Amino acid sequence: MREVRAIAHYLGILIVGLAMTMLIPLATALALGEWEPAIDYVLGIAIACAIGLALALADITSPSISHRQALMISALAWLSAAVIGAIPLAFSGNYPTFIDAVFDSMSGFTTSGLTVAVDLDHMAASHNMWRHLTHLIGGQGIIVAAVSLAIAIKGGAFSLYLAEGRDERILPNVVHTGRFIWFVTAIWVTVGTVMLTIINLVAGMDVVRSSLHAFWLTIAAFDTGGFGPHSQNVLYYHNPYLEGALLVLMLAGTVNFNLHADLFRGDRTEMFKNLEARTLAANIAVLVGFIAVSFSLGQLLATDWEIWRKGVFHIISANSGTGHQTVYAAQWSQFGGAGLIAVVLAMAFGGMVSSTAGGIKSLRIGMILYSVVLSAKKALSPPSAVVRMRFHHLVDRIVTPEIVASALTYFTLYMISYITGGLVGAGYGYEAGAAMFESVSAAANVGLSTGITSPTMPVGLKLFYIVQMWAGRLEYLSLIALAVALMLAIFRPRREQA
Amino acid sequence: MRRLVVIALCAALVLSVATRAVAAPAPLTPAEAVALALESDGAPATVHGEALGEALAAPGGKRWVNIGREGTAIGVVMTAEQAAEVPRFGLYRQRGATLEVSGVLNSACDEHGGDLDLHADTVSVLDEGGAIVDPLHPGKLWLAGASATIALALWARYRQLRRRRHLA
Amino acid sequence: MERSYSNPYRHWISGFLLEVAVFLGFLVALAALAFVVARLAG
Repeated sequence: MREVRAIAHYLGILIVGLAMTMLIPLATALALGEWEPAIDYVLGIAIACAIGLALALADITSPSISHRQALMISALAWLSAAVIGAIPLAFSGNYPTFIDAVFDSMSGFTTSGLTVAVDLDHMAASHNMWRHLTHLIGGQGIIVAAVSLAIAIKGGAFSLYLAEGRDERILPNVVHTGRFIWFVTAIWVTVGTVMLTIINLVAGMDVVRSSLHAFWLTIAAFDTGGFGPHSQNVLYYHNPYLEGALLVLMLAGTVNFNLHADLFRGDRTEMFKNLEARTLAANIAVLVGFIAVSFSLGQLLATDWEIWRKGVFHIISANSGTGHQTVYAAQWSQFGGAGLIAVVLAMAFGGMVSSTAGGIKSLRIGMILYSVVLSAKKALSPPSAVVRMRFHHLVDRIVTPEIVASALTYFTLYMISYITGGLVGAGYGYEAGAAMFESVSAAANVGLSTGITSPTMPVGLKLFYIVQMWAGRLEYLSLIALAVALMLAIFRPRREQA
Repeated sequence: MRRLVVIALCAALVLSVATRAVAAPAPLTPAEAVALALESDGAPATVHGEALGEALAAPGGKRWVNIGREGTAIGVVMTAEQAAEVPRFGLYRQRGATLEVSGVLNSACDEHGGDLDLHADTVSVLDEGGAIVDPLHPGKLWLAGASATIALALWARYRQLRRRRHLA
Repeated sequence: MERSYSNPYRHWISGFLLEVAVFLGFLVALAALAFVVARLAG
C-alpha cells in the first residue's frame, strides 16, 4: 500500500507538470483568437491539475523509490500522459470518440506519428500545436523533462532516469545531463524552425502559418515523431527544399545524445569509430541500394530525382522512426517488392539508442552481427584459442556473452511485437503485408501508414496499436515490471500492512 | 424551311449534350482521383474538392493548390492566374472555395519529383466557401470552472499538509 | 579509456556546424550510391 502511494505521488507530480505544458497551446489559442479551443485547454489544465494533485496527495513526503518502482512509474507516466493529453483533443471536434483522442495522444508522446484525426485540414492551430508538442515532450522523455525542470522528485531522480531507458553518462549529474539534452534540442529546433520558416515564406505561406508549420515540422522531424498539420502530411507542401531540411533534422534526431555531446565537445573521432553510427549508416546505405534497384526496375519512379525524393526520403524517415510521408497510403505498391521490404526493414531495425528513434536500435543490430562474426571466428580457431572481438561505443568494449544476450533479448521482444501486431491486423481482415507494415510502424514508433490506421479502424485494433506504441517506446521492460507487479498484487496479496 | 431549322436545332442540341457526356468524365472526389491515378497513369479526370491552406509555389511559375474532401486531398498544379481566381482557402473556421478541376492525373509525376498530382487544364469555382462557426459550449465553461475550483482546493490542501510537516 | 566529462557546451557552435556538415555529407553520399546502383540495375 505504501508502495502504491509513493507511485501515485510521483505520477501526480508528473501529471501536474504535463498540465503546465498545456499553457503553450492555450497561449497559442489566445494569441490567434481561437476561443473555443482556448476553453478546451483551460479545461485540460484544470482537469489534469485536479487529477495530478489528488494523486500527489497520496504521499506528500516524497519518499525515495526503488528501481522497480521507478520502472512502474515510467510505464504509468506514459499511459497517464496519453490519457490526460487526450482531454483537450477530445473536446476539439476532430476526434469522434475519446479513444481516438487517446490514440493520437499516445502516438504523439511516443513519437510514433500514426493519426486518426478527422478533418485535420481545418484543425485549430492551438490543437495542432498541442499534437506536435507531444512529440517534443515525449521525445525528450517525460521524466527527463521533469528532472531537468527540477520538479521535486528528491531522491527519486536517478532511478526514474534509468527507468526511462536512458543510459547517457553525458554529465555525472543527472539533472545536468537532462539540461544538456534540452540544450541540444533547443539549438536544433531553433535553427530548424528558422530555416523552415524561410522555406515556407518563399513558397508563399503567410507569416503565421510559415512559422507555425515550420516549428511543428521541425519538432516532428527532430523528435522523429512524424505528425504533420495537414491530411497529406509532408506531401501537402510539394517542396523538395522542405523535404531536404527535414532529412537533416531526422538524421540529427536519430543520433545518440552522447554523440551530440561529443561533437559539441569538439571530439570528431567518436562519430566514425562508434559501432552504432557505423551500423546505422551501413543499414541505411544497404536499404537505399535496394530501393534504388526496386525503383529503377519498376520504371514508375525511375528518375534519379524521384529515387531521391520518394526512395531515400522514406528510407531515412523509416529508419529514424520519424514517419513523415510524401506518398499516399495506396502508393506503397508503387515501391515494388524489394522497395517495400526495404522500408519495413528500415522501420524494424530502427535508430540509435539514447535518441528519440524507435525500433530494435542499430547498436543492438551491430552487436548481434558482430557476435555472428565472433562465432564464426571461434569455430574456425583451435578449441584452446581465446578469441575476442572489440568494438567501440563511447569507449572501447569487448563483445561479451552478456552484451550479446541483452541485444538478442530486445531483438526477440521487438520481433514478438511486430509479428503479433501483424497477426492481429490480419485477423481483423486486413491484407497480410499491410498488417505487418502497420504493426512494425506502431511497435517501432515510426508512423508510416498503409491506410489501416484511420478513424474508421476497428476499436480493438485502435486499442492494440495504442498498447504497441506504448510498449515499444518503453522497450518492454517497464511494461513487464508493471505487469508482474499487478499480477503479484492480484494473486499474492500481502498479509500485513507495510 | 422551318422544319429544316427545327431539325437542325434538335440535332445541335442532341449533339451538344452527347459530346459533353462523352468528353467530360463524371466528377471525382480526391480519394477517387488518387485511386484512378494509381490505376491509369495519365488519365483525364474532373475532380471536385475544397481548396486547402494556400496556393504554394510550383516549378515554372505555377502554383500548387491542394483540394480535399472527406479527409483526402490531391495536389493540383495550375497557373498563377488560375490560382489567383480562388477566393478563399480552407482553414480553421473557414471553408475554402469548392473547385472543379479538369486535367490529367499523374501517379508519379516526373516533372514534380514523383508526386501524385493533377495537372489542371481548367479550374472553375463552384462555391466561394465561407466562415465556419465554432460555437462556444457553455457546458465546457461550467466543467472548466468546476475542475479549476477542485484543483485549487486540492492544491491548497497539498501546501497545507506539506507546511505542517515542515516540508514546504 | 574513461570518458571525459569536460564541458560539452564549450565548442558548441563549431560542434553544431560539424554535425550539420556530417549529415549533409552523408546525404550526398547516399544520393551518389542510389544513382550508381540505379544505373547498374536499370
